[in-house]
Amino acid sequence: MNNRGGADMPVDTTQIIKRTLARRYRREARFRRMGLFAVVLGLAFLSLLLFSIVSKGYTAFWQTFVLMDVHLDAGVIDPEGTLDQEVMFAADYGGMIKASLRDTFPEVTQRREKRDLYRLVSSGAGFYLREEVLQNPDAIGKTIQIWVPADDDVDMLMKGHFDRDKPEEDRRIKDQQIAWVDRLVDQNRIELRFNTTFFTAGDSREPELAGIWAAVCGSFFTLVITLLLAFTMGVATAVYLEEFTPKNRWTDLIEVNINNLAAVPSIVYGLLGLAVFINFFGLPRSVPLVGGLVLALMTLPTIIIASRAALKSVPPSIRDAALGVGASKTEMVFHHVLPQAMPGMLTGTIIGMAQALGESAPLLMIGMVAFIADAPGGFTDPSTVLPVQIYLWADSPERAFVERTSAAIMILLAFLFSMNGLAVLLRKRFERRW
Amino acid sequence: MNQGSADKTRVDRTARKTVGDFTHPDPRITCRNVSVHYGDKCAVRNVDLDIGRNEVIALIGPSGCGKSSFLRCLNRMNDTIEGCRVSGEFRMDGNDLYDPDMDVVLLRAQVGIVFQKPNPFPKSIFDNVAYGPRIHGLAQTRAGVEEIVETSLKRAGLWEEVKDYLNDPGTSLSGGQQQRLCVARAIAVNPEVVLMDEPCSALDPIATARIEELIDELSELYSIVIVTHSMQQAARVSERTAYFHLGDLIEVGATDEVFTKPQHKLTEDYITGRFG
Amino acid sequence: MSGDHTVKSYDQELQHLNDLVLRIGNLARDQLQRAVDALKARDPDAARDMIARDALVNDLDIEVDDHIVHVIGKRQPMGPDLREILTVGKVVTDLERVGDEARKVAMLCLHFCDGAGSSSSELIVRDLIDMADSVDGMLDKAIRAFAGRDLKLAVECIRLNVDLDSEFRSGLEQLAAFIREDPHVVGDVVETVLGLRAITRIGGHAKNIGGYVVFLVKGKDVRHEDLEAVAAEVESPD
Repeated sequence: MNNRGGADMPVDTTQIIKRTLARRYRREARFRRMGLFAVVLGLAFLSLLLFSIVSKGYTAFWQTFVLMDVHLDAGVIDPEGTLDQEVMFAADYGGMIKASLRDTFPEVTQRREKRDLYRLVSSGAGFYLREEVLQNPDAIGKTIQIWVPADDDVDMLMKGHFDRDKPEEDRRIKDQQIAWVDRLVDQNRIELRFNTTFFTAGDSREPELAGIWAAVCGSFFTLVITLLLAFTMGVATAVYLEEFTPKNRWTDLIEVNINNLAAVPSIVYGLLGLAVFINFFGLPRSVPLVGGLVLALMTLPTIIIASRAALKSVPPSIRDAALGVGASKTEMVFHHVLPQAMPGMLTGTIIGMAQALGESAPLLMIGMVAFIADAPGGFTDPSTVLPVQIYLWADSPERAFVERTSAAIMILLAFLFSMNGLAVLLRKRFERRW
Repeated sequence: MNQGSADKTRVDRTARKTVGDFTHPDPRITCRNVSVHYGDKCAVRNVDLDIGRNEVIALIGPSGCGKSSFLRCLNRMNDTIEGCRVSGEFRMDGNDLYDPDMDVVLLRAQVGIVFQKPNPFPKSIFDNVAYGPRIHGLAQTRAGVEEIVETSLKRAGLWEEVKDYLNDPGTSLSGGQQQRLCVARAIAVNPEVVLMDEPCSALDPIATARIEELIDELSELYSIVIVTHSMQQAARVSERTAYFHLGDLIEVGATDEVFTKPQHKLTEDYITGRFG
Repeated sequence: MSGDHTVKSYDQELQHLNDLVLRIGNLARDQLQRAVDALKARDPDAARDMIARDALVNDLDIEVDDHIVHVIGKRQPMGPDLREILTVGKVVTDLERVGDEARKVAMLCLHFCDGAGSSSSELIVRDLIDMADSVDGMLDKAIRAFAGRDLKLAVECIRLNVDLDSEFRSGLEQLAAFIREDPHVVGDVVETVLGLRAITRIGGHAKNIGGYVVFLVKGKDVRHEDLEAVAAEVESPD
C-alpha cells in the first residue's frame, strides 16, 4: 500500500545475509561433528565393554569333560539287590570314580600322586555317576563309560588359560597332572562339551559345578514381588496425584519428594529394608519377599514419575470429551485417560524393573548375599539374585570363576536387553496417534 | 414507534449495559447476574441471558470476550478448570444448576457439548457414540445400543458415510466427519440443550455447511447455543444473537436485527469489521 | 461514519460508492437544468444534446450496480454497511429515473420547437418551469441529505413533496382553464401535462431518496409511512 517502510530497510539485505551464511553453516557443521563424535565415543565404550565381557565369558559355556570307564560294583551300589533308591543314593560313587582313575593310570601308586590324580576330575564327578546309575539301574554290575566334568584347573589348562612354560610352583597345576591330561587327550578321553551345569545348578565352591539357576530363580521371585507392588502402587499413586488431588502446596511438596526419592542412593533403601522389614517386622533374611519389597520401594519413584508423565501426555480434549457426555471423573480416568497412558506407564515400569533386576547394593544389606546352592522354591526361601551372584563370583579366587562371572554378566545383560526390547514392543503395539 | 418515545434519553452507545431484550418467552435456561473469574481475572461480568426452548442462539464477540467461558458455565465444564469461579444464578427448568445438590453428571447428560477441535475418543466409531448411552444405562441390550447409535449417526448426518465402517477408529475420519461424530456422540444421550464451542473453526467450508445444516435440523429437537467467530455463520444459523465484549454482554436480540440494525456502537463496530 | 474499517480498502470502496452517488446526482440535476433551459430558450439542439447525454447517467448507473455487486460479494457487509450499500443501490436507481423524467421535459421542448406550438405556449409552460425550479431544490436537498446523512434535510424533502403534489393539482387546473379559453391549445396542454407529470415524478424520486436516508441512518423503512410517522421516527432515539 505504501512504501514508506522501504526507506528504513538496508540497501541490500541479501548481501548481508550471504556474508553471515558461511559462518552459520560452519557452526552447524561443527555442532553435528561434535554430536557424531559423542555418539561414536559412546558406542566405542559400549562395544569395548561388550567385547571384554564376551571375550572373557564365552568359554564358560563349555566345560572340559573326562571319559571314564567305571565298573558299577553291585556290592557297593546295591548289596541287597533291592534297587532301593535310598540305598543306591547313599553308595560311594566318588570311590568308584577314583577306582576308575587308578585303573586308567595304573602306574600311580604313591598316596601323594594318587591325590593329584584324583584332582583331575571334579569332586562332584560322583554326583554325575550317581545320576546315571539312578536312571539306568540295569547297568549295575557292568562297566560303563561316562563323561564326568574335569576339575576347574584341568578345565583352565584345556582352555589354555594356564601357561605351561611357567615354573611348576607358579601354577596351580603340576607337571605330572599336565602329563596325565596330555595322555587323556591322546586317548581321546577328554573334550570340551556344552556346559549345561551352568544353567541348571546353583552356586558351588567348585567352579565346574557352579551355575546361575538359583540366582535366576531368586531374581524371578524378587521381581515378581517388585512388579506387583511397584506397578500397582506406582500407577495408583500417579493417577491419584495427577487426576484427583487439587494443585496446592501439599501436592507440590509430595511431587518434589517423589523426585528426590528417585535420586536416593539404592543402598539407602537396603538399610531401610533392613531396619523396617527385617528388624521391625521380623521378616526372614535373604528371602525374595524382602528383596522384592526393598526393590519395589526403590523403583516406585521411577514408575510414579513415568506414569505421571504418561498421564500428562493424554490430550485434554479427550478428558473434555468424556466429561462432556456426562462421564464422572473416575469414569473419565479409567475409561479414557488410563488406557491412553498405559503404554507409557508400562514402559516406565519395565525400565524400573530392569533397574531393579540389575540392582545389588540394597540386597546386600538384607542378607541376599548368602551362599545359596539350591534354587529357591518360593518367596520365603533364602535366595540370591543375578547381580549378587556376579558380585560373589567376581570375589572368588579361582581362575575358573573369572569366565563364569563374565558369562553371568552376559546372561544378566541378555535379560535387560530383552526387557527393554519388550518395553519398545509394548509402546509400539499400544501407542495410538490422534 | 410513537411520539412518546422521542422524549426518552437516547441509548448511550458506549455504555456497558446490555442493550436489547435478554429474556425469552419460553426459556429453557435462565442465567442471571453471571460472573466468571479465572483467578483475579474477570472473564464474564454480570451477564443476564435466557436460552429459549428449541432456539438457536449464537454468542459472538472478539477473542477473550468471555463467550466461551459463559458457554462452558451452562454444563459446568468450567468446574474442571483450576482457579475458575462462577457466580450468579443459572436455572434450567427451575432447577439451580450450581446447587450443591445438583448432580453434574446428570447435568452434562442433559446439556451436551461439542468442542472447537473435533475430539473423538481413540476408539471405534460405534464405541464413540455408544459410550454415553452405555455409561448412563440408556439401553440395556446390545440391540438397544445399536439402535441409539444408528439414530444418533443418522441425525448427525453421518450414518450413510460410516455405516459400513462402524468398527474403524473414530480418529480415521476426516475433520468434518469427526466433528459430526462428536455431534452424534453428544446427542446420543438425548440432551435437552446442545452447546457448541466454535464447532466449525477447524473445518473447511463444505464441512462447515454440513454442520450448519445439521444445526438447523437439530434445532427442532434441542436448544442450541453456539459460539462462533464467523458472523456470517451466526447470521445463518441462529435466531437470536448475543454480542460479548470484554466480559460484558453488550447486545442481544433477534439475529436479523443485530446484523442489520445493531443498536450498540460496539456491536456495530464488530459486525461491520471496524473493531480495534 | 463511525470510525474506519480494519480493512482500509473496504473504506475506500464504500467512499467510492458514495462519490459515484454524488456524481450521478449532480449529473441528474444538470440534465434537468439543461432540459428546462432548452424549454425556456426553445432550443431544439440543446434539447437533443440533453437527451443524448442521458447515456452518461445510464453508464454511471450500471457502474454503480457493478460496484455494489463487487462489494457485497467481497465483503459480505453487515449492519450499517449493508444498509448503506442497499441505500446506494436504490438512490442510484431513483437518480437514473430522474434523468429519464428530465428527458420528457426535453421532449416537450422539441414538441414546441417543431412549430406545432401555439402562441400561448409560453404561458402554458410557465407553471412547469416554476415547479422544475422547486423540484431541483428538492433534488439538491435529497443529494445533500444523502451525502451528509442529514435527517433534517431528508424529512424536508418528504415534506416538500406534499407541497409539490398540491402545486401539481393547481397546475392541472390552470391547464384546464387554458383549454376552456382556447380549445386549440389542447395539443400543447396534453404535452405539457406529461411534462408536468415528469417534474412531479422527479419530486417523488427526491422524496424517495429522503426516505432512503432515513432508512440508512435509522434502519427503519419509512417510504410508505405518512409524514408524521417519519418525523416521529427521525426524532426518536434508536
